[in-house]
Amino acid sequence: MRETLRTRMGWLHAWTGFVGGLVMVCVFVTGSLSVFDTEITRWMQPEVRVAPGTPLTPAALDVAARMIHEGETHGIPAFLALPSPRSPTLKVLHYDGREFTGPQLDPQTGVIIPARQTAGGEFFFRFHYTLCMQGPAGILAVDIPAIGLLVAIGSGLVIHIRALLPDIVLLRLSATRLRAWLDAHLLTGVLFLPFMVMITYTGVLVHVDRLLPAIPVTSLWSQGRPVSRSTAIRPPHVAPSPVFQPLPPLAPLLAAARAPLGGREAGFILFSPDHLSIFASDASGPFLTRDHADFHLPDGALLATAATSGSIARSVQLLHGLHYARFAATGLRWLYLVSGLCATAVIASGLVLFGMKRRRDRGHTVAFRIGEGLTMTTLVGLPASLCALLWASRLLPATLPGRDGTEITVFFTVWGLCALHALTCAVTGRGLRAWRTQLAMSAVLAGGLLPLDGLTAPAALHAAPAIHAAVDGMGLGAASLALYVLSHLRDRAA
Amino acid sequence: MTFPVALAACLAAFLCHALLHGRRYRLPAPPPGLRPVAYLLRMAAPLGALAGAVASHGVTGALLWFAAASLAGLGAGLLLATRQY
Repeated sequence: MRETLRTRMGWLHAWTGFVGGLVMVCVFVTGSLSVFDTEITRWMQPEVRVAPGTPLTPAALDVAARMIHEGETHGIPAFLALPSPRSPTLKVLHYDGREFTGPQLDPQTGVIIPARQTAGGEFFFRFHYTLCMQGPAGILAVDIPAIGLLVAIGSGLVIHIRALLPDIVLLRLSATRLRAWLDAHLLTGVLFLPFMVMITYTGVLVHVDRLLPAIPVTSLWSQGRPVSRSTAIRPPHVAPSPVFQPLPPLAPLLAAARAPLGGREAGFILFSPDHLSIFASDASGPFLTRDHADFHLPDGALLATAATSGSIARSVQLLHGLHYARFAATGLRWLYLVSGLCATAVIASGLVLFGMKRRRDRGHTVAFRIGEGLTMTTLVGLPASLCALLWASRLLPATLPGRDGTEITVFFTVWGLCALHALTCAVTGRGLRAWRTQLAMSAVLAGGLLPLDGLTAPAALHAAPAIHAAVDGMGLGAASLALYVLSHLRDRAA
Repeated sequence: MTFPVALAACLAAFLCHALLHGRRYRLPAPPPGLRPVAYLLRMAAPLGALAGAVASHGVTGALLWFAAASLAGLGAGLLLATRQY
């Protein structure tokens, strides 16, 4: 009976793991990189050389306030993102239907920094939770495989439960290739199980309203169509055309907001026609709140303070905070990145094992070869195209109109070509050759980031050496890994 | 200091665990006098590190401890594997 359960769980684990894993590798890789999205944006915009910790002056705030007021009178609502240790510039942002965009100002002078348009680290973040698909389809395309991953984790636990603790650090590299891969999968899978469960569960929870819309329970028994809470009947409301009040000096308001926000730093300011709201920074703590202090316009009198309380709200704030990790200092961010990459390795090794176990019996079938091509597209094509995005951010002319969109086009073009190459080679029985070609290409693109950086932005290397060393070092690490795998594949071919 | 301490404590615990399952990990059996020490270290070191991390850093401490435990396990696994290799 127990063996039957394990067999069935094995089937469930294999198929949910493979189908969901193809998507989840993309989600985990970009999610891991998103932990440093601000820093990646700074790497992609070498013109921004403001030193971290540059003090914010009232003059710069006034320049930003004037820009926002002008935008509002022209019907472009904007908000102000304040400088932080990670992002030292003042940003006047508006939503263009796809992302938040706008000029960056020097926090001391308020002068606009002529930075190139770029998809930036924001692209990794957006790809992580929507796969760059518009509307709720993208969120569902990530959330459903994420639930599949939780199922795969649960079924994997059932399969491995008897050896879970005794074999917790067992890795037999000298055993057969299949055994060594399985050991590596189990070792990383068990050790990073808490992180994987935490990050996947909290990630699903962030957009749970898309999966389970909040429908009042009473409507389930009422006749007719259920009405969701967000679309419930409301009295008709005709909004009068807003009259935007002039903005008072912002620096005194920031100082005044500190006490109502419990001593926390301000993160951003939202503007309404008759009031403005100063929000607590997401970096204030592990609870991702939207606590804010409202000030009346134009006199700047404190109107109210909004702070969410209650155990359920606090729990949700904590779960969101754990997923976004905006409170984390640099060291903890690195641990998130490493854990995310190890979780990616768990899924990636699972994909490889799925193919290895079926190669002998079904290696000749078209379905297997398509599966191999898709695995290759995900495991090698994605990193190569991510590197291509970074190359594009440096090689495209800085003044090119629609530059950020062109960068994204480069990313998807390279990834599409990788997919075409992988699938063509795999279906025609040249899968190993395709692995080698794409690994070599990934190694060149990733390893080339260091010379590219040095040649195209030598001044930025001096302005932010830690950021450039980290991105270029990650590139070298990825290139070394690709070359290591490539050398093993050459041995196997020989 | 929280992370290095947790890392060291968890690494010691994982190595004690391997020692206590010597046959599985192809390690020599520990002397009888050492077994209780290994049992104690395997249980007390990570728990002590967890208590210290949570007491001093709260949620961040717990996250640091989990990351340290995962990385220590990975390190112990690689150490034992290269020893056999």
